[in-house]
Amino acid sequence: MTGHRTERWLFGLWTAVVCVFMLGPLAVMFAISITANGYISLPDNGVSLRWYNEMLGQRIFLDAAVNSIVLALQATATAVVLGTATAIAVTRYRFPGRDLILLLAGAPLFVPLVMTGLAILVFFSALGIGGPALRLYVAHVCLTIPYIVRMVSISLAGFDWNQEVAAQNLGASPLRAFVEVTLPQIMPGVIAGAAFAFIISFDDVGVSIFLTGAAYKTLPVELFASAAFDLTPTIAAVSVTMIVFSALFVLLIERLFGVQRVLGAEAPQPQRTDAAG
Amino acid sequence: MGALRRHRTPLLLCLPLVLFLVALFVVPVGQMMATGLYPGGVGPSGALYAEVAADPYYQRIAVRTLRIAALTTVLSLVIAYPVALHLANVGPRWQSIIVLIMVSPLLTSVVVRTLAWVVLLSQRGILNQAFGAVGLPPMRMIYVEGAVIVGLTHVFFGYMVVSLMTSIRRIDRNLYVAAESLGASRLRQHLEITLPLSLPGIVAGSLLVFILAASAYATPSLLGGLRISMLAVEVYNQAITYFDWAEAAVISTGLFAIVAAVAWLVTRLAESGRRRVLFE
Repeated sequence: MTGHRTERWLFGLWTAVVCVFMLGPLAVMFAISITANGYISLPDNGVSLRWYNEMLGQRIFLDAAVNSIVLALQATATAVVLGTATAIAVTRYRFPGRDLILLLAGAPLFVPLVMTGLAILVFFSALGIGGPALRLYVAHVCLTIPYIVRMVSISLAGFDWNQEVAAQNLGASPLRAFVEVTLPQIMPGVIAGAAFAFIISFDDVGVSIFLTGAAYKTLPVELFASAAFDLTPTIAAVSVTMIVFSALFVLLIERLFGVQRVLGAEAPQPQRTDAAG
Repeated sequence: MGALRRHRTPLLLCLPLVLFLVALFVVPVGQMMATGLYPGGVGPSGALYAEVAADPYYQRIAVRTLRIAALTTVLSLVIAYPVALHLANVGPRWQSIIVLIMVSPLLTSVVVRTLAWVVLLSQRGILNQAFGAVGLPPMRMIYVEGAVIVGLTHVFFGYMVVSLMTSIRRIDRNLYVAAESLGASRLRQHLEITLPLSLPGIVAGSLLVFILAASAYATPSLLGGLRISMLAVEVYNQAITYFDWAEAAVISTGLFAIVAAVAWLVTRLAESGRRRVLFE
């Protein structure tokens, strides 16, 4: 038993150190954002909120934040509709092409982000249509679809489709049976998927950096560009704001779905019982 | 036609997604790969692919990309394994708290997480300020490979923890009881039970971290600067700075091919390795 106790203690200590490694840099960022000094430093000469004030006074960050939120909402809404429909099809039915569709729905995850970004840039430029807003919207829908399909599929895994059949036997139309019986039960999965998709879109830089324009940037791209140009405590203030924003979504996802399930679950399997639908 | 009618409902449900992804993802990616076959509008020819592949500059960057991604993977694995073991030991409450700490940074923008390292490591950053305060000379900690590796490890670490934890938690606890009653030491139990049975998690986590690290753009760009360029950074530079889409397309296709080849190889090796564990 002593062996176990030493092990517990050692691994516990190691885990604590790793937690510091994970959170430390973010905590330092917070400390810098409230420094009273005029440069990147810990708040050794007192605490001040001037950098947050500065941040709110800079139009570029505000504009970029609005762009990011609008974009993430549009992309998420589209991906939720397309992804949920597909997730229902692949969990409920077995049909020819099912595996191919699953592969297609996951494909944007396997392609490097810079490749997706470049591909959409080249494609739209050749067609000569759309500005940054349209290109980013298309790219972010592609980027978020895999997560929606996966999370909704997982939450549908144990669903008993006979409930829907029962509702239809009682005279409900297929649509009504879906809206009143199925939808409320898969809602937590759909909302968690939407929240996750929103964050993926809101945070992205690898794809977006190819598609933003001089007059239309997303918040991470603006932050990236500003930081490459000059490091100021304002950058830290923007970063901390983004961390807090993301944290709220993490808590929402954790509540509804469990964060580990998002990242660690297996591919969806159709149920054998109702294979033909 | 009969099959189509029989499967009408699921096919209709999938149709919007399939149309969207084929028209606006598959076609653009395919078209972009083809761009490299028509350098200057003539072709098709593999001349540009051959040229890029033979260029020592790109060879160096490709090797560096592989090295950085591999070291990031190993570092993540070594750091994460004890954490995953600890997670299997603690109660569900602590478990969810620790997992949340490990995973929630994944949902913060890569730019933000990388910037946290930039302000720590830069020439006049927090660490050098601290060194100065105790009378040490400033150290060069940014724009070196180590900085990129540490940054990437921090950025993708959560995936490794979750993959390892998932497979370690599946191990039957009775195996340890049996091994202990037969007199195996704790170390031997881990070497002969935990390690082989967590192999799927090790492979899955390592692949994920390797692929993400090899294709990373923002972290190497901010922490590596101009000196430590990686393939994804090169794609961006060619496409946006030099406006050479054909060359950018070739580099990104190369990056994709390298990553896919490594993933395929590792999966095959792991498959045969698992068979050996199971049947010998």
